[in-house]
Amino acid sequence: MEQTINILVIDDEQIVLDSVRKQLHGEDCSVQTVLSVEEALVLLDQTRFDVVMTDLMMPHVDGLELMQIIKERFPDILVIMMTGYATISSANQATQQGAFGYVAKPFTKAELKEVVRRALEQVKRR
Amino acid sequence: MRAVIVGGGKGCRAIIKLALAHFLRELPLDIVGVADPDVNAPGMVFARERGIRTASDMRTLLSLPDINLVIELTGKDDVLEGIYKIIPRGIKVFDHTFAKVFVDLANAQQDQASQLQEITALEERIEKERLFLQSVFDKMPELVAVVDRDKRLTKINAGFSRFTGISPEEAFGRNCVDLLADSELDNSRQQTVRLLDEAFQTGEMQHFVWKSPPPDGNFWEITLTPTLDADGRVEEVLSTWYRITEEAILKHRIASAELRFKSFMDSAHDWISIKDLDGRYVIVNKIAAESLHMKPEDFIGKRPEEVLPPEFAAMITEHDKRVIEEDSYRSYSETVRIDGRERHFMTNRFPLRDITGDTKGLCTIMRDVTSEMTLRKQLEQAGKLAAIGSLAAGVAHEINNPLTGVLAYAEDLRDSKPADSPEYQDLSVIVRETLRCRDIVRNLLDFSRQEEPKFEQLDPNDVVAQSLSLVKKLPEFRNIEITKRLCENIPFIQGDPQQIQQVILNFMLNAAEAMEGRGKISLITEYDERQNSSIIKVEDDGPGIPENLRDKIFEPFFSTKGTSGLGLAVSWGIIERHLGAIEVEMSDSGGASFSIIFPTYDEGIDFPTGRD
Repeated sequence: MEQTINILVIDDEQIVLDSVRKQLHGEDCSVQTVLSVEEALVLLDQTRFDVVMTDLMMPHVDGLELMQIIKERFPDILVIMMTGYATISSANQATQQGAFGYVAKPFTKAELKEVVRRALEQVKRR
Repeated sequence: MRAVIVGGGKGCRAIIKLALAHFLRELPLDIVGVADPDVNAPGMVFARERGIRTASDMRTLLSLPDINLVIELTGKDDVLEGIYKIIPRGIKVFDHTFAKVFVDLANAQQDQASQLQEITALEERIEKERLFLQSVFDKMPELVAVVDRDKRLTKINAGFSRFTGISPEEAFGRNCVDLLADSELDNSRQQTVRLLDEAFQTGEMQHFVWKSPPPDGNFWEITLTPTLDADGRVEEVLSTWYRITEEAILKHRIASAELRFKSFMDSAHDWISIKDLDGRYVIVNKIAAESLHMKPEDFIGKRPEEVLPPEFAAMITEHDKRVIEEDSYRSYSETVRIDGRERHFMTNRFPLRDITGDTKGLCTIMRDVTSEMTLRKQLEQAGKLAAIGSLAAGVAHEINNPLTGVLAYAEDLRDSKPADSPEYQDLSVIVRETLRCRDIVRNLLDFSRQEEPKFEQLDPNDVVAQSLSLVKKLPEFRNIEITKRLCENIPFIQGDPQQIQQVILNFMLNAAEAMEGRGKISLITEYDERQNSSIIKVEDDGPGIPENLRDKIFEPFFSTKGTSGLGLAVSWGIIERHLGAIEVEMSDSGGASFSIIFPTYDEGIDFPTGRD
């Protein structure tokens, strides 16, 4: 049976969160956004998510650490890294550590949709 | 013993002389008479002259009283017999044979006398000579003293005696150093002792100048001349003092000042020259002349344009003119092409004045600062690259989020408009320009994140060949003729082939761009033996790079074409990490020539390995 796919987006800047929400508007998914890893962890405990999109570099806990936690506690969740171009090699590293994909900021709607759609397809195949 | 001589020949004369000279001490002879029939015989004549009785008949004399001895010199037996018949008993007779002894004696006495005479004459001559030498010695204008091995005075002349106030007799045997002991100039004394020792030890003449203490206060040029004994050893030293006049001192000073000046000029590492007001060289130092493959004397009396390449000469003349016009010191940064290489100089030019303050000429001191300049430029460049790198990384990170917003909202708004509406077009411009911003940021980040080279041993010719095959596929080079001129057996270099290819490609793309897609590009490899470096050159026949821009092109963001302006800066960074250098010059065809200069492969070179 069809179930809504839930995506959680984490970035320490609201404009990025708003942008992602806008760009994913109309996709076959529900988008929630938070400004920190701490808030994300609270939400992850409460709600089931299929995909987490997180910024790589954030104050306090960064994207890589969050991914480690998710891998341990919610192994089914696909993680997509959002990263500045400067840290593209760390994004590669993230992929090696189990990230589903990455997208370099600033990204176009097409670029974002491409990676998200791949994730959605994988979720749907399950 | 009273004697009568019979026979008045030469023998008789000799015996008379002997007797008169009292030569015969054991047999004191008193010749009382000489007899000979020939009254003109030499003995007879001599006897008469000496007041001795003579007679032609011997009997006249033999009968004289108190005769003790008869000397028979005729050698005739009948005469001898006659004598015996006449003389009374008791009177002794020396016959002719025995009498010859007297003759020999007489001759011997004669020889001795003449020898004595010779000796006396010699002594007289020596004394005359001695007096002459002594007077010369005394009348010499120089002061002279003779010193033996123990530094004792053996002789001084009148001049020396007058100067020191010591008579020659007083001086004899005195230590010459003690004589100087009163001198206030103690180090002169030490110098004297040292040079005296030197003269005795080496047998060589010594010179020095000594200023005597007041009241004399004159300068004396002192010469120490060793005199040798028969075995060639130094026996004594002749110390000659010659008073130097003011003029001589001045000459001496000028000569030594000139010597000092010449040695200063020729030891200098800077290029030093002096010109007269007419702009003609008066002096050029060695290093300056030799660096231009000339001799210092080739310049003398010539103007710069007569001896130097036209551009160099024109620059010198222009700068000199300014210094002369303003009559003041000026410092210039000058660039000159020598042996096909640019050399940079820090040049000081200043007027030369005489004692009255009038300008008489112009002095130029050029210091070659080429290597400092290159180093400074490299440091500046490296500093700029590093600063740009970290700035870029920071800015890029900060700008990414806002750009994400701009892009998302603009796209969203655009997509809500009909595709043929003016709003859609306008919003497309915003999206397009935002993407351009993104490219700029990404370029910046590429630049700041230059990868460390992965070093391997490379044949520069291989790198060139690989770059060439890469370039051939690019549309930019469709109408460009590319030629290779490779140096066979060029030494290997240490490098990252991909990165070096990237640099060559950058240069070639720039060339293609400068030539607007049409022209010739040459890829050249060369070995510079002098610097032991392998060189890869990219030359084009395009418009070239104006000299004033040559330093700027490697600066990040410098661009004349609206491109990112990072290509050459990145190239610079790559070659710097290869411990190489990039030089930009004008090619023979007037286009640009980029040389990448690599140190040749050497296991000893410690190339930097990856950053953290």
